[in-house]
Amino acid sequence: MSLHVSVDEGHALEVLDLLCRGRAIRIVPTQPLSEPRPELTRLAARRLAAASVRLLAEGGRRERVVLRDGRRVRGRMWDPAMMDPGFRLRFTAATHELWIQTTQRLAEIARAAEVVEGQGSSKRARRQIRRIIKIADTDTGDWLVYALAYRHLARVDMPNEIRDDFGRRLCLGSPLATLFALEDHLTDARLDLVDYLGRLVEGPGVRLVECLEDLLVDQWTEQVTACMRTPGDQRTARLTALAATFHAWVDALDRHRRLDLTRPISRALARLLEQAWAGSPGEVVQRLLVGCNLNTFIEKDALRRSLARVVQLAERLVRLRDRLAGEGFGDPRYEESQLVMAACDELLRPHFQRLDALASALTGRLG
Amino acid sequence: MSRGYRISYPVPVWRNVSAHVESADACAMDVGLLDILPEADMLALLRDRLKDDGWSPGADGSLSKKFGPVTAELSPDGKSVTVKAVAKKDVEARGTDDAQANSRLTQAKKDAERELTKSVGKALAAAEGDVRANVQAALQKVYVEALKRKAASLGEIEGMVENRGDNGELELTIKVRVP
Repeated sequence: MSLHVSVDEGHALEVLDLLCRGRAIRIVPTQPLSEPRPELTRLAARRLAAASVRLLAEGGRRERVVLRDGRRVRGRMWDPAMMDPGFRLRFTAATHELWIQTTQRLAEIARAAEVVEGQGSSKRARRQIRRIIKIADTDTGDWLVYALAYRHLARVDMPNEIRDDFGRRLCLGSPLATLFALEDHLTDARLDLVDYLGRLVEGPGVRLVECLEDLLVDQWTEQVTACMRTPGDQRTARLTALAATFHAWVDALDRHRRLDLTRPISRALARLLEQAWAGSPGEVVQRLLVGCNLNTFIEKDALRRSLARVVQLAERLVRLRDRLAGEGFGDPRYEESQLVMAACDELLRPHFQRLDALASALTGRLG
Repeated sequence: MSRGYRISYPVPVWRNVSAHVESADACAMDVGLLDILPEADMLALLRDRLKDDGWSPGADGSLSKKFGPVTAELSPDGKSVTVKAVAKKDVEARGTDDAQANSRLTQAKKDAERELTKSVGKALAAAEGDVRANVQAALQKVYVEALKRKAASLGEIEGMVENRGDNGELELTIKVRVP
């Protein structure tokens, strides 16, 4: 199929590529598109579907063991034996709105003029963001697109305040985006974080999490590293929220008997030891405090402990592993326990001593 | 020829104001007791050992000890030791009217707070090592005692050898005859 597109239509397709694939926008539109013609919508839908399915297919191409109906099954994620008939990647009007409204309004709000000093985004920018991102009745496809948009907007040149509000809104519409962002913005929406993240594992949508393991490891490593460099006055709060979201995710997995999905956490912790947490524990603590301008011990202590909560995920996972080790053959969580023990012993145990030493340095542990 | 001038110079009426400035800071250290004996027994051993080292019990079940200008406190649940330092100072200022006096007092308070924060930080940094060494030494004794009790619970103790390595590490060998 060949389709001639105008400059503005080309810009709209580039916006879609930015959201789904993180590609930069180079076209400057004369008048941003507001009503795409049906042919362009079909093309965009195909691009969206191709980008999403490719991501999931690549994420699930490795042979592995996963739980299906509480039983371990070995194979590739898209093998017929592994297919869960209930899974579907469904996009609602929210994704279409995100594409069209972003095309129309992103350039308009991604400007320093839309930031009110000391108050964050301007009212106008916040109103525009609400128009761009719909949060009601979103489905699996929207969750994925919102999460990808969150990841890719981190690279777009825009004021941090606007980016934060944009990300916050994406998180409200997608539990997967919340898992990517590792932020808890749900208090205003009166949602419980564990319940909210639990939506990802309570139905066939769990396939999303299973297929995105590599991406989650990349995203979480980048998030923790970025949080350790956020401006001094926000660093403690940001790391505290990040740790709370991680722990809420583990709670949700435990509640839904899918602790086997903690694999990416173990992998992210191991990777952080090679990157942001490289060196001796003392060096990591020093790096954490650099650029913070914290004067009192209480403030420094709070910052160190906020990172310690992240590092202590390792300790928590080992405790959960030991608890599940008590499951005997025929017990309800036996199959899950076998996967958890294998993952923990393979991915976490080799690094546990270093992680424990880092947690001790951060909490000043005695004994 | 000389000429005399009368100069009148008004003597200012000073308004004196004063304030009390206090600065406090603290750092906390987690206590991770090995579970050689049940948690309550380990905690009781630690509390006994610290009392022997001069830590005094508080009304809420905590234990505290002064280390120079700072106070270390073991929480009632024995999970953390908090080292606190407090410094106080009275500051005074004066001005020809209330506004000037108060503005000078505000500035003096800020200066004093900054100075006190620094001195409190220095005191904490200096004492942290002593507190850590004190509690760590107590914990080592707790572990020795706990191991002896554990061994005794397993059978009859036939012999016990304590060696200290070059790096100060304590090695305890207990021979137990198991019935």
